[in-house]
Amino acid sequence: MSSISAGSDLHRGHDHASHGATAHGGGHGGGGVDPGLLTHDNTHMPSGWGVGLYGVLGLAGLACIGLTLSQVLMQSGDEAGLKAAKHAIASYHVGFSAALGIMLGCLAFVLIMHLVKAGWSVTVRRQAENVASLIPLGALLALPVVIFAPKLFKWMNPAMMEPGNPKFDVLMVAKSAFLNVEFFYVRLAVYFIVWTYLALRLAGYSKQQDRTGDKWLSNKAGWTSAWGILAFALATAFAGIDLLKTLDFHWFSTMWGVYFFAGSMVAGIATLIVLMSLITASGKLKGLYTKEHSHDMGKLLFAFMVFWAYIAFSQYFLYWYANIPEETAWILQRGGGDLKNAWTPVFWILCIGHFIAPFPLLLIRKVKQTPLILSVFAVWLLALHCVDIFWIIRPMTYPDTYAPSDGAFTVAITSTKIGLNWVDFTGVLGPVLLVLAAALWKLSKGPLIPLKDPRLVEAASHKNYV
Amino acid sequence: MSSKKVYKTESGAAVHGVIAEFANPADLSHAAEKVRDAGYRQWDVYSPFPVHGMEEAMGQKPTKLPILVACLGLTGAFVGFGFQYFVRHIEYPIIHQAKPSDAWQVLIPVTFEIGVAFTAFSALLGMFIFNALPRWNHPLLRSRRFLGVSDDKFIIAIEAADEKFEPHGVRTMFEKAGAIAVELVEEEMDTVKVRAAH
Repeated sequence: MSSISAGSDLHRGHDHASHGATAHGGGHGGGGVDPGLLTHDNTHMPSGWGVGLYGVLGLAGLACIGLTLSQVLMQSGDEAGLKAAKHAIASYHVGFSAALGIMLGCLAFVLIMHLVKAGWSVTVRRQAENVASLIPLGALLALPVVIFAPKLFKWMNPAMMEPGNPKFDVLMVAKSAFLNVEFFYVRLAVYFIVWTYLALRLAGYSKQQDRTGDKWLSNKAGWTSAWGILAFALATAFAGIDLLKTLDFHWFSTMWGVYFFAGSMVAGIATLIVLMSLITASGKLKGLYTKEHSHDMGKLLFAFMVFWAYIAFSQYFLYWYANIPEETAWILQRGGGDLKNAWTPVFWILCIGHFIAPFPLLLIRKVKQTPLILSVFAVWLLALHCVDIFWIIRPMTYPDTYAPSDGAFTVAITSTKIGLNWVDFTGVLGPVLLVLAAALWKLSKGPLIPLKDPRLVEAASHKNYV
Repeated sequence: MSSKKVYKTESGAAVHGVIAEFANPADLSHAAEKVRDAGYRQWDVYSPFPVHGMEEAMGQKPTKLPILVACLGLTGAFVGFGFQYFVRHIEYPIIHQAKPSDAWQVLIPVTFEIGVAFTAFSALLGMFIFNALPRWNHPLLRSRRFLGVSDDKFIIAIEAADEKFEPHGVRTMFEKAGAIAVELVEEEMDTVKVRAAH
């Protein structure tokens, strides 16, 4: 234990070796790790790394967001213009929700790993902290959704609450105690405050530990995660309901919060896998992120992919079996029923691409152990995550299939076109690329791992004994 | 194997193998590396707890069990799906709860369950078969020293069935590898023959 603290401080030129890690309560973490692994060179990206990469991605993201939002703002007031504006903000909402899922998945990863005092994942945790602490950026990305919410959320139309109005909706009145504009904005604010607080606090502990080496910070992070995971679960489940499910406020699903979480978790872990393979491809974290870590990240990706499929099927199956109109409407509109429509291919792309096809391939150990091959699957599942959110949001908001209660239900479930145009791509790519660019920027700015985490030694010697 | 020499002890019993005791897990690992490098195949290492890195020290190849389990698991899933589909749609089509007789959705839970059942049973039974289990007894259990592996002994056993087995060579190798005791273990006596002799 005594040689370690010298190792972790090697690149700083300080000699802390005389203070044994065990001698002081706040001793130096990273105990027992080969000092050769913790050199500055191995634990940091070269200065100036990736400027081109995240620069291009970030600018592309900003350009996509700009193009999409300009479609919302600069449409004429006639019916076609209103439809185009709705289309554009719906596309942006897809991108925003997908990007939010990535950040929430990473936050859940940090919370879980602290909670179970995981050793193996210490070398991955810093990247998860980085992505999770982008949640304030997520709040910024939420602004267009908040501002243009009345275009997206049909229930915000006050006419639905007026008796006598042709749009009067008795279900809306019944649900108005929860589903009203003021409470909606308060809820959104609360979600982002909870996520931001948790993400920044946990990332803060970790960075503080880099400086001080105080091993008790790991325990504090554990305590925060204990109540944090409960707050996170509630905030995430309700955010899924508010942002996605209330698009069709007639519909209900007791699985919805879990479904949103499961998809987000896949996206978060997929992003971590891509970031870690970029790091290993640049020759960093040798001996700290090995094929064993890649293997475990692959297992997590596989597990949450299967979890997503399990949740998605459970939700679908109960609706299919009970066959109650107000429940099946949502599925029918999305091409999941016997009645084929434009969304049927998307439904099958999700079934096959998000579960059936990757399932046998991800079972293979070599696939999980090779970071580059695994990241191909990660990128694939990230793309499918966007398709999933697209499939959730767009049938509800595309003007031709607007909503059942507009008297257009038959139109909705027999729609023959999705109505894709370029704004669907810019809307989705914008927020997602921006978040990935910000993650890369954060990656290049600091140590790639928590340098003095007391469990770093477990991560460095991690092996799957199977 | 038929040309293999059968070693016998003075009492006439066949030799099952030679066991060597080592002082600690580190010595055990080093000795395992030596046995591996000497090219023995029919041998195993016994310790009271798992020793990290022993797979490499022994040069063990990854188990083939996952492949068997994957194949049988998929077979189970297909059997589960196919059987239901055959019964519900081909052999005796029924419209049930207004669902079409060829609805795939209703088949999924049972497909999943049969797939899981096949997977679990093939993993369990495959493990038994690959480990040549169950068996009533093992010749090594005749050695008092060997019984200590469930307490505090670290032991390597090379079986006489090995092509390279030669009692004196094995003993010399073990002693060079730092064994604190080497012992010859006899084959199990044939209980029927023992009774007949009495």
